[in-house]
Amino acid sequence: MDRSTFLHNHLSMYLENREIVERPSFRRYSWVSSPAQQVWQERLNRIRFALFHMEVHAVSRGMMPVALLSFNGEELSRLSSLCLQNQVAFVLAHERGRQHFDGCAAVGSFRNLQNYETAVRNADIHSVADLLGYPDCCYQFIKHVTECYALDDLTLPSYYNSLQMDTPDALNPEKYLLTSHSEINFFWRALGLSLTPMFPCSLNCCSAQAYAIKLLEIGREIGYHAEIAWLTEALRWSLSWTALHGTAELKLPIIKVIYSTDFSTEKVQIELPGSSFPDEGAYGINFPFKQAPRKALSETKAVQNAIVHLSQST
Amino acid sequence: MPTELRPLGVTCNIQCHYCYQNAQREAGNMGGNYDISKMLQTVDQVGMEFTLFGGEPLLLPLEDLERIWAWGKERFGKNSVQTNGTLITKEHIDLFKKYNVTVGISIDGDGELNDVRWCGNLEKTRTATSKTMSNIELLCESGIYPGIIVTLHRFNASKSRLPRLLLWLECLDELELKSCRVHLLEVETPMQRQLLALTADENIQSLLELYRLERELHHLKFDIFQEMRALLLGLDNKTTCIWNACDPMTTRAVQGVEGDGTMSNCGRVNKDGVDFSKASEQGYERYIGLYYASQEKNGCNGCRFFLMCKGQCPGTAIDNDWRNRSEQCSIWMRLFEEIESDLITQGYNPLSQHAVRAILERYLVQEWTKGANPNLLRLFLHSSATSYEREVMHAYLVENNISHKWSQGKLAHLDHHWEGE
Ligand code: SF4
Ligand code: SF4
Ligand SMILES: [Zn+2]
Repeated sequence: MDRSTFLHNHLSMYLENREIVERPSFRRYSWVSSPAQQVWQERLNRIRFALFHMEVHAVSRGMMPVALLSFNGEELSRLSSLCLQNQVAFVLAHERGRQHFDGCAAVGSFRNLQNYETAVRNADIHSVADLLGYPDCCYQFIKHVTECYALDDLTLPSYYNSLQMDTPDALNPEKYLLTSHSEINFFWRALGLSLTPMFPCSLNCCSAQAYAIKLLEIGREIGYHAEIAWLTEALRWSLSWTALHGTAELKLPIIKVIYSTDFSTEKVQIELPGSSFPDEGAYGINFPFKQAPRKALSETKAVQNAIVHLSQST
Repeated sequence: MPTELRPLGVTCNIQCHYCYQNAQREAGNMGGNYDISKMLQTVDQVGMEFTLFGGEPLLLPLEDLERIWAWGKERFGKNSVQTNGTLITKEHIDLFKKYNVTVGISIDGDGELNDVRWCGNLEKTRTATSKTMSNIELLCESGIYPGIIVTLHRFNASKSRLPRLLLWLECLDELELKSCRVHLLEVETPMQRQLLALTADENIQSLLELYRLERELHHLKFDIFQEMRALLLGLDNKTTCIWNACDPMTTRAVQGVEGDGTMSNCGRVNKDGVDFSKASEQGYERYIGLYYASQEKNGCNGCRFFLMCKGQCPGTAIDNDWRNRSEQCSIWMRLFEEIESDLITQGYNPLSQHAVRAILERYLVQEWTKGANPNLLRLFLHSSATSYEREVMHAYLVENNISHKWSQGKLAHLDHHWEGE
């Protein structure tokens, strides 16, 4: 079986049960607790700002001709002053798949931005991908799944493409151990946090990882040590992702995010056991939350007694 | 809907085997520390009356109860409490009277009917049940008629036990209690399903019996049937959360205030045992999804009761996934059919059978996509209705004796009172 058949097989039920439903996009979230919010809301904002700065800096240093940055209303002014400081230009842009944000800006030199706009106008996706610095494998993959499946959300194809064929992975496609390449963990894109400009072709793409590592180096050079430490830690946390009836739900140890995804009546669930768990992460009875050391209720004598009594009655 | 004040989190003196807060207890997230000033400050900001809630709120010391209720009476003129009724004392009753406290008691029947509301061992359980029953009588003698919440399960509503439950409800009627809320069991674990759950048919039978019994009682009303009747006529402005497209990320009907003053959601949507904070905006993705997804795929597409039911409470969703419709669907559908048929016999032409249904559905889904969730009455006043649609609406209102006014060719006012109320 070749890779694309493998991918197609995994996606088939989801695609067969797809429906065309017109709705505006949405994204909403809930924190697991106020302490988690107090610590991590500020950190996530700082990481986002650091990522803006890192990408703008990367463009000004020629790591890629253009960067595409999604922003929410209040972030726009910070983004424009960053561009000014780094002597790069920016224009407002539109891009599929980034609809959970208020807007999107392309950042680069005047000439590169002009080339970018021309490429977008001509629907020349190869040049667009080149300008944004997509590795070829990721570009080919995105092109393939967009052309074949017309999915708006690439989470699922990228995820299935991460599974190794002919290994236990393929037999249990709902679970993936996040042991390496965590820098390109694309599930955090739902929160606007990503070290690559595109959905990587898989969770183990080396080219995408090389890109992410280069960006991290730039971040360290410009002094975002704390932000990078938080981000790289967060990218290694366990997470679960499910999608049903057009809503994706991402659960992380500190926050739950729901957002619009392709509408299918076939439920998909994915678990990524990670290698780290934050101090502020919640105790809970389901993955990805921390299990209490003992089951605080069902292991009590009173409840055991109840079960015995109830099982014997009626 | 009042705010739920939960000073003690989910701490309780008994261990109901079906309690929807058990996931939180199992995870060890009990709560229990409270700061009255912080809590009341939050209630003040929310600006809605509150119910003292738990776990079991009467585990609070009397002086703290008095402080909370004195403030509540001053601020809202009244108070309320939801309790299992086992801990009520003479002193509590004095406070209820002094501070105008409405009392709600959760109990599933007398004697063995209430065994699922467990107290450690059988003897203590039965003692607690008798205590609750005598407290209900004591309250009535003092002129306080508590509202009752009953959950149906195998221990009080199986074929062999249902007659006893009905008798018990007749006793409550003799005590002149006015209101009984009937809950179906919310199944969260395989163990609960195996030990406690009735089959769909048993649930239907029990509800139909209660529906029949209600007509014979003098005082006691099961608000669920009243609501379903009103919903079938589109008069939904007084109905409870389960019928009103509850957003599980914000649970508008339940504004929980925890011991530290933070806001929380209704515990019924808490399946992970994690008390998630409220999302900052409301959204109706679940309901748009259910409208389009087929019934085969756990949606509600094509159901003629969708306008009234909307897939029901997300806390009861199939497979504990709030995006699915309620796993109690077949029960509610059967009951809607029964009440619909009674309405037709009485000369009404309910929404579920009327051409107006498709029009209102379209507008409702449109409103959900804009992030709004109007009640059905408001949909009749929808500003974009075409003249044909207005004619259909008009015909509907006339056929059902719903008083309304027109102004400049548009419906301008609807009266939610109707003769069947
Ligand atoms: S989850 Fe259910 S019980 Fe809770 S507020 Fe929503 S509809 Fe009501
Ligand atoms: S009765 Fe069932 S199918 Fe109909 S709206 Fe309610 S849950 Fe959905
Ligand atoms: Zn790649």
